[in-house]
Amino acid sequence: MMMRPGLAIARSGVTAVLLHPVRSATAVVCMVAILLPYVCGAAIARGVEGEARQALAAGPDLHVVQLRFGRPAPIRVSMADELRKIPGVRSVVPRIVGELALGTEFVPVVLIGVPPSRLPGAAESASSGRAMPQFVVGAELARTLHLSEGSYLPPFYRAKGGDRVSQIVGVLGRNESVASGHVMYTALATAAEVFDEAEHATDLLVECQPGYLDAVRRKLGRDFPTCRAASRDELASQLPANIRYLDGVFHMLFVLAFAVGIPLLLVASGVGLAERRSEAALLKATGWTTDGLLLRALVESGVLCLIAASSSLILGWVWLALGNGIGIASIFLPGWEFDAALQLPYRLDAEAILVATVLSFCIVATGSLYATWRVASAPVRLILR
Amino acid sequence: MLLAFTVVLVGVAGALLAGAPASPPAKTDFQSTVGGIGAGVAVDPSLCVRAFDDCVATDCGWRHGPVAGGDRFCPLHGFGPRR
Repeated sequence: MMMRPGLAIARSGVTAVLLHPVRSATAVVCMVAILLPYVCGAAIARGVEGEARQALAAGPDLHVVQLRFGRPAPIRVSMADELRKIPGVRSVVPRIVGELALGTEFVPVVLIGVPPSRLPGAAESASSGRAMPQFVVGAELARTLHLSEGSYLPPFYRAKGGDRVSQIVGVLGRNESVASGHVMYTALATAAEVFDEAEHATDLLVECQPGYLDAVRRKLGRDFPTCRAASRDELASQLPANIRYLDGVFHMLFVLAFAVGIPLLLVASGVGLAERRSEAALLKATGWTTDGLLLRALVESGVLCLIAASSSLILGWVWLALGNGIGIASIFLPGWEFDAALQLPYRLDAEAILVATVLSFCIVATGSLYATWRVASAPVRLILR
Repeated sequence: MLLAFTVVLVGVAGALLAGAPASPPAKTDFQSTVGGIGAGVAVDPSLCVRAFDDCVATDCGWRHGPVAGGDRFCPLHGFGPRR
């Protein structure tokens, strides 16, 4: 029974939103303008971090590179045989990861070479010396260079046996990792031929038997002092640093945006509005208590805040899922193009949305509650005068 | 009317949140083939190899040239974390 007056006051708070449609709409628009980029930015940051973690999860237990002058240098493929002899090593896979530029516009390409056993389908035949070099390309590369499955690439590298035309045997899907966009992968021998680095790879991917990781790593450090071995956990603890840094910068910008938006929100939500003053006075004159007026303003702010937060989330989803994050994706993914062929990674985060909603509520409520309290605590005759 | 509108809006937003997977869908085909690549923020290595993948480069290429120790000028993490 005691709840009924409270509910009635709360309902009048909902009605109050519609009593001043321009003020309410302005407050909602202001909040959406601030919340929307924040929600989208947080979602992209989570998505990119998720993809980075997937890349690590698909990687080896130990990642071994050769160092010369403290910098990564080509590693002998034959070293893989030496590493296989270490007790606890399950497999060692040599890999080539190199850069080159293709086409007249020098489109950057990451060329990856892996043993033929890892390659799916037709690309496997690329390992045979006489076959036409075959490559699988990423979606972004295929779009930029107008490539499709079955296309031919004119000679783009100098081979000892003469220039060779290459064939595209596959195009990666648009839902693949964003790292796949500029990637071209092939057999290890073909990649070695492209870079003219026979018998060398850029890194060795070492898989260990359970429980042997530390022992293998110690043995590697002892017997191969010029190599650097990094475990998956070690990389996982360090790699997202850049992503978190960008995320932090974005949060800071958001805080600044909020700081700039506060005066706007305060004005829009009630400070200095004569309507709120006269409305409160009339209600007070008809018997409303100060608590009732404050509850009414609180509910009004809550409804405005819920509308703004929900709208921001829905619009954010539209922006990211349907608009592919146009205009905001490149902040978190340097090099991301306006018309990217890949699906933007994103993950809508409840925590970020909750924080944003609570902050907006505090600001809107502060504006309306303060104005209401100032009016409601004064004698009616003074307010009406 | 407004209350109903608000409830619908919150419901749709909640459904979007609930429908979002806790982690992005697994993209293991490509990643398992190449042994995991692209654990950085850059979509290609043209600006900074390390920002594309820390496994490929131990540090920023700008550290060694064109200005020695110039990794602070790297467009991708020049003012970011330095390891």
